[in-house]
Amino acid sequence: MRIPHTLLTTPFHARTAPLMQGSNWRRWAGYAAASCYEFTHDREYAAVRNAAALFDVSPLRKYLVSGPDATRLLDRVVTRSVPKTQPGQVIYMSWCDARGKVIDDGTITRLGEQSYRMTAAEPNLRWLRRNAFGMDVRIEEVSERLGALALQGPLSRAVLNAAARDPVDGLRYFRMMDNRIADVDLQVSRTGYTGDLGYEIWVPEQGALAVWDAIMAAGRDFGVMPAGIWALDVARIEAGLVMLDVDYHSAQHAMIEAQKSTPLELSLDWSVTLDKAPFNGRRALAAEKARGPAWRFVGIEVDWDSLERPYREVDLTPALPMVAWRASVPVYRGSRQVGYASSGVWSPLLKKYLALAHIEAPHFLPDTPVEMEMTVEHRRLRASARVRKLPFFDPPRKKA
Amino acid sequence: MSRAFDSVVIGASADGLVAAAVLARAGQRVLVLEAEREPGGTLRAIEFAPGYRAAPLAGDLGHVHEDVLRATGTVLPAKVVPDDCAVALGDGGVLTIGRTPAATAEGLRRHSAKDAAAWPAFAAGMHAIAGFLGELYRRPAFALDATGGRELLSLAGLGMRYRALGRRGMAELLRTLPIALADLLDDWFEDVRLKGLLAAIGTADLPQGPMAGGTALALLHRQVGAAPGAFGDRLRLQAGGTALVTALAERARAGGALIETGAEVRRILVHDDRVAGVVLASGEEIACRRVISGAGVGRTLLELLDTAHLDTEFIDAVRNIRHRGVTSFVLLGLDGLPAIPGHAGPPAGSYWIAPSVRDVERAHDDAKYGRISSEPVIELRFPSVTQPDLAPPGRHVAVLRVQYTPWRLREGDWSSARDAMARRAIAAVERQLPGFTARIAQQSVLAPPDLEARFGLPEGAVSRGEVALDQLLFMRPVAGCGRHAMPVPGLYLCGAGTHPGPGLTGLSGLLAARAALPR
Repeated sequence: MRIPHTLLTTPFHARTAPLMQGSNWRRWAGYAAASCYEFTHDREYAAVRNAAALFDVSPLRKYLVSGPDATRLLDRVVTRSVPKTQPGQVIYMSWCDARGKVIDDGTITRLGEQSYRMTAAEPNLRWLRRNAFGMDVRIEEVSERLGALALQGPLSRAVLNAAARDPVDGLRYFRMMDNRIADVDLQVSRTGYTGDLGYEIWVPEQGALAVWDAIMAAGRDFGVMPAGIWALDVARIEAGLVMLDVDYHSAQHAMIEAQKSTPLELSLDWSVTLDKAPFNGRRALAAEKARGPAWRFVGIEVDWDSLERPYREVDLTPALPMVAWRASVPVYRGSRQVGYASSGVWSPLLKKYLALAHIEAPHFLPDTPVEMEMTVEHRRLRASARVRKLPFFDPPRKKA
Repeated sequence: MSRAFDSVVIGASADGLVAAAVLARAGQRVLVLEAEREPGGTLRAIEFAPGYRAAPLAGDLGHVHEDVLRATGTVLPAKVVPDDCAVALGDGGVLTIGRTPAATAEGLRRHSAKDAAAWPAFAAGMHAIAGFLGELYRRPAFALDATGGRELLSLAGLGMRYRALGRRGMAELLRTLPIALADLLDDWFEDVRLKGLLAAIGTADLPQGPMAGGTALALLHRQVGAAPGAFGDRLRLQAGGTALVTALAERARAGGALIETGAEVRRILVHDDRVAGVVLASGEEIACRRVISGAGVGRTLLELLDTAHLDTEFIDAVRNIRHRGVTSFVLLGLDGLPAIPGHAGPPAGSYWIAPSVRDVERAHDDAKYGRISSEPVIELRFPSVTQPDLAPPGRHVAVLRVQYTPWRLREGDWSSARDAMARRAIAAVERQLPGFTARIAQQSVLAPPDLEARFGLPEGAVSRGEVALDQLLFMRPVAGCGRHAMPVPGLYLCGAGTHPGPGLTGLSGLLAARAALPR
């Protein structure tokens, strides 16, 4: 399968390309990424929740930040306390502009006393450099040099134990370890974007194919499945995880102020530490916290009867969104629009129609009855729904 | 912390002392901390050779506005008011801009009857526009989102002032602000040397040449507070800049302010998101609720303050302030005064080598490409004529202001370029004043890096931030921070790098102090 040369390919492309059955590629940060390898993503999604799915997440932006002021720089940039992290620890957080509007979100892995790896959805090198003024710190973009795999699902630990030199049994949630697979030195972190038991593997590009092969070989007995973005999307909506450019716009690309969001509006309060050293947006976030956020990012669960009825009236069975939609869908309470959903999908696991939505105060409280717009046979209707606390799905195995 | 004050002023510059005096007179406990051994900041004189002193940045003391004198209770010491403000040297005898438009016109008649006739109207027009600028300069820079009653009243007052310029004046103001000085001069005059002199005065200390847009504004800026047509000649005192500094320091002390010299501030402390004190080089911590810093915009915000307290965009803006120093000084000890051809009496004015607009522009062209002008623009002063104590008895001091000498040289560096630059400048003076070189007994050179080191001028820029339309008023030092209060509560800036800019001595100190006083 040849990919038009205008798209970049990841270090795993030689393995993922032959798997592609339906020519179902998409763009992800300038890279060719699989939407799904088979003609539908059903089995790929099933692997996430029942066995193990292997995602190529190399298009993530990756930065190495090191030097005497590395901690200071990152602590200035992100909303969470970086000095408090231990070497080997991973944190999820967002980073903001001066007005507390989110620029991007990602993870920081403390590799050593003075070195970190930061992931981002979009290019952030310039932002990091601008913030490093006067600091003794080295910022290196390693996006292309470092391949990344996400092995996610209840059997991912077993697969990894079979493939890696060192067992990962002792690796706790949001921790990282050095390891070795197929004679390649790499790092394994217990992180992911599915809300399930899972790991991410950070591998130098030269070792990428050998590592892919080793994981696939070790995973054969466990039903490991290469999986694409469609499967990932279903899982991340169930897990209530926000996505840049889908659920929110970067403050650096928003056209108007109203398109920007704060971490509090995205319900990322838990990742905001106001009582640490000054960081970008702190003053604005402290003020927002004091008065309470105007928006929250919440779950929406559509009532089945209300979904089925309009279809029955036109002699159809309900058309369920098996592939997650990414659009702005109005959410109402009574006659008033109180927000909008930005992602939605039918959850095959929970057997529910779920959406992620931005809802205005005070309508964002759990169990608030709302209505979400839907279109049935070209007619706009409203389905009854309820506000739900995120995540929708949170299995104990995720952290166990 | 052993000592505590209401306000700490960093730097006993004229602006710092004005701020201290105003705050002290308002009942605050004020401490002024000066790193040097004596107050004065950029106005102070340095001994450049045994027995010879000069204050290269105090050739003109700038416009000390009535507001400043009133707010501090200062009475200015005896002034020097020479008849000649600026004198162009060169072929065809001297060409002089005098104290009054009539005197200048009289002198110009020898060179061009047309220009002589045009001068009074030009001087009056520029003076009127500068009067409006002066009104803008004596107020806090206007806020773009003005909504308060006082603010709107002030803006309304400005509107009246603007209307008072008359229809022609209003149009002239709007036309003059953005255009090239060369074009403005061509509109008015024909004499090549007159235009050369005005071009040199207007672009003094600017990295642009007179053909660059916005340079007419720089000439206007120098008209603020000067007699009509006496561009850049605003205030000189018999006892020099020291006398002004001493008078202001006395007023600050009289109000109860404490002035400590040899006390270098190393850090500004911030607690709970507001200024909490300063740390000295000695290690001493001094508590205070407010800091008014005249230590320079970049130095204060990016070095004394932990930049963690500033927003990224703000840091970028501060880093992007254009300075680009182009001025050097050659300080000379002379065993006697040279004769100025065609000029009688002691040389008390400023003497210029700037034969034409083209020559000034060409001098700038070199600097544009990182070279020192092969034929620099030179302003020559003999401060010892009015201040004999600057030199040993019977001796004199000459200060050559040499432009364009870029801070960043494309080839080589200033350690090797200094002497050649000085030789070039002295040779240029020698051509106009034969026998000048033979009178030189002592010599010292202050290139842009030296000005940075000795006087704290960023990139050696005498302007402390280019005087350009986008770096004035509410955009000085950076857009939205023209009101002296910085984003960290309790921190205020004063000095030429802030509104209203260089040459308006004391006003930024006054405005900063007012901003710092609790309302």
